Amino acid sequence: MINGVQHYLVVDDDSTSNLLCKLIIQKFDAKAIVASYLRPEEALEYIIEKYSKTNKSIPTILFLDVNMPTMTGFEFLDRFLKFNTEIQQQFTVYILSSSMEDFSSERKKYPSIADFLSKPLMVSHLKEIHHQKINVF
Amino acid sequence: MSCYKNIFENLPFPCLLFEKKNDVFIISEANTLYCEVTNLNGKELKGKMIEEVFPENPSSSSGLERILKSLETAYKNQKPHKIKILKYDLYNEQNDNYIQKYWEVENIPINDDAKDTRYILNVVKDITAQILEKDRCNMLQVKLDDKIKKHDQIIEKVTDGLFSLDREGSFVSLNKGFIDIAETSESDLYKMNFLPFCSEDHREKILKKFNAAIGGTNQTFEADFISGKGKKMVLEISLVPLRNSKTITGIYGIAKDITRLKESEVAVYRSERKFKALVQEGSDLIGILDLNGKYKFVSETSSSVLGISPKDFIGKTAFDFMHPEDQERVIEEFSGLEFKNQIQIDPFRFKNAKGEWRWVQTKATNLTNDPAVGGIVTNSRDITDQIISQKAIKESEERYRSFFENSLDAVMVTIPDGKILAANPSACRMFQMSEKELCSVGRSAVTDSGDPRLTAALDIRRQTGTTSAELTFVRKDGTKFPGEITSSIFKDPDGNSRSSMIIRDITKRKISEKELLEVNESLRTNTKELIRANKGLEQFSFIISHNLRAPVANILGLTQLLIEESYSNDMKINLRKEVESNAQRMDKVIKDLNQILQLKQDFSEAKQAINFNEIVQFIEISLHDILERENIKIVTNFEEINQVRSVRSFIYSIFYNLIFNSIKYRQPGVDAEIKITSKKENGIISLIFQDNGLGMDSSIKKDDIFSLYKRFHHHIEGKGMGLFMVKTQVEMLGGKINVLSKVNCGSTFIIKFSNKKFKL
Repeated sequence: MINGVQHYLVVDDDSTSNLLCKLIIQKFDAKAIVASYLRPEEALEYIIEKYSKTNKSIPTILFLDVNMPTMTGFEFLDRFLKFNTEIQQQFTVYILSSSMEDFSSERKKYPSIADFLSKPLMVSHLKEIHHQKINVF
Repeated sequence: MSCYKNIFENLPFPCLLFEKKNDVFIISEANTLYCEVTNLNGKELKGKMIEEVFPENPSSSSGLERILKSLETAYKNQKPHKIKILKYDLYNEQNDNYIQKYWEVENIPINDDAKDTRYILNVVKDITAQILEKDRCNMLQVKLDDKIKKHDQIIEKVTDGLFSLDREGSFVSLNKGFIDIAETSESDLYKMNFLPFCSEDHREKILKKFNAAIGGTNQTFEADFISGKGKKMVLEISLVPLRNSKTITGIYGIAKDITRLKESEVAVYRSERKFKALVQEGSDLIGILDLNGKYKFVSETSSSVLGISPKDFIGKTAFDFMHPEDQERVIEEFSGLEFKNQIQIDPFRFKNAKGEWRWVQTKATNLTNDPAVGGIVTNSRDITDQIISQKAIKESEERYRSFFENSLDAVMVTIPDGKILAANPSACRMFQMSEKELCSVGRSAVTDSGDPRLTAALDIRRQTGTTSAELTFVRKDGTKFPGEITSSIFKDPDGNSRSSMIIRDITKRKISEKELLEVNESLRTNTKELIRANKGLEQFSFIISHNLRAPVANILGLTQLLIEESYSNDMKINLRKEVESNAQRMDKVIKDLNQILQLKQDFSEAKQAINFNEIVQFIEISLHDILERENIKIVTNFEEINQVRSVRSFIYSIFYNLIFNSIKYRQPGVDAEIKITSKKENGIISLIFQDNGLGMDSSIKKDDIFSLYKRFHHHIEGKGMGLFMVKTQVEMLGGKINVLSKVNCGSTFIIKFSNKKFKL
């Protein structure tokens, strides 16, 4: 946590959801920097652009929706996991879905996913994430 | 002379005095005795020749000649001449026969010196009695000699052994027969007694018998002996005491070899035993009855066969044991024995000890005239099991006959080469021929030789003995019909190959099978629909989880923020707008779901004629504004086919959604053109919707194109409901939809229906 600033990236085609995420994150951490993308393709471009050019690590929490028209959250991950490890290491990936589906097979397939969260995003979710991060480090 | 005459007259012998005159001897005198003996007087005799007085017996001549010769000899030699025995029969005038007589004759020459005459004194003596007695004695002697000779021969020739023993048992005499039996030489036997010939077991017994005979009583017994050569034999011995005045000096005996006899007796005994066993232990029941049917004897087998002991039958009448229904008939049959020696009585029921009726078959033989039997011999056998199985066979035959006569199927018996031997009434009806006609035309006339299944079926029958097949059959009038045949090869009782053919007319079944196929087809369609419905359900669950859940989750999040936070008014207004928009989104989804559910209901609408042009015109009217504003052109070509019969709302919806889809995904800055073409080819009706819109990378997302709420573009609001509806409706109508698309090169949707689904 450089400069004590936590970065967040939200990828979801639902604009309301994105707005909600931003407001909740800011409520939890007023200093947090939140970037949100409606189109996953643009988000991937942003990641490459921002996270590979700097020498500094930008620890970022990624909230990723599953059902998006042109690319699902998992298809997004498939591409993301092909990025170099320096980029990947800067992210903690959370799936944030409105679906009540059982993602157990995906949980096995993508061990890099930190957790699967159900919408709407709550302050309590963020508290727990924060708590886990502290424990890890 | 008178003195001599006196002497002559009184001579104690019958005498004649012959005088030779002229060479012939003539009787000159006969004395008194002679006259007495010959019953003649002297006057009758005097001056006669001898043959004149005593006529000679013609059957025994030579007596006269001998007398004359003797007279001559005595006269000539002047010496007496004697004939010791002379046969000269005397004639008996009364009976006109000759009495046999023998004489002693002496001729004595006598000289009468005075007269110089020579006489012959003839003295005769009747010796007939002496001669005859002597003859008799001679005869007896000859006979006796003969008898003795014969007796000796018999004794020597008899095979029986004859012997005599002295008081010590030593052999005194024996014949050849005995030597043969004893197998010991004569000379040896004379040095022996009988004991060495006795078998060890019987020695004591034989000795006892010998002593008893010596004691004076005759003995006859059988005992085992051993010959000089060691041969075992059974002899029958008779011993008779030999008495010399009052004392018994020994024994006379006869030995008869009865070994063979004994053996045959044993054989007879055995065969008797065998017969007895047959009678007592065989399965046949043997009885002896009198002419009234009363039992005199019943074999032991009655116990095992009927459970009734033989003694319980004696004195009872056989008919009383019989079933009342059979009694009269059996009595009648039984009475036939008066005229026949043997009769076979047809099976009748006979009560056993348990009171059960057993079927019995009897052969009765009349042996009333045979003193050893003196009755009617019955050989009976329990044939209940046989009768039952015969009945079963009869019943089964009856069943088969009934089956054959009454079966609704055609049943025929054939020779495997195709000749028909029998056909039942159903076969006659089926082929419109009489049984006779069928038998004469054969299998080939009722089967369709053009049916390839026929040879196949016959091949299978040849290989496996049986076959079942569907074949085409031909009636007499030449019409054909489908039939199901079952045919098997079997052997008749004589071992000839036969085959059975059971044919069922399956015309009706074929029709119902066809109907069944159609039902199956529709069932399959229904199943497909069910599967689709199930897919719809999966989609539904997806919709609930995502498309309903998403706006709900948003509203939940938004309301939390609205309650708890003190945002600016603008912010709050913004949040409320968000709530409203999400609620509308939810409403839209619910409406869409309703529309999908409505599909099933619409499907049950009656099919009607639908004109493609008309449909397009309706849609152009409803979309008039956007078509005008965006300068969108719809070009149709329904020349090949313009009208189908189907569910109107579905066809409308398909056209509408595909047109709307093309409008929605038109390329910005390019005038949209939608081409709709109908085609009819090989019974397939095709509808082609082609646009010049954005297109999709269909190679990647083909499966998802028609999924509910799938979108492939970010700039357009929409939830992919349209294509999902199109696909669902096409499939419900039994068609298929496919898409060809390239990014920026437009999309082409092709719908194909089989013609059957659309009746024009």
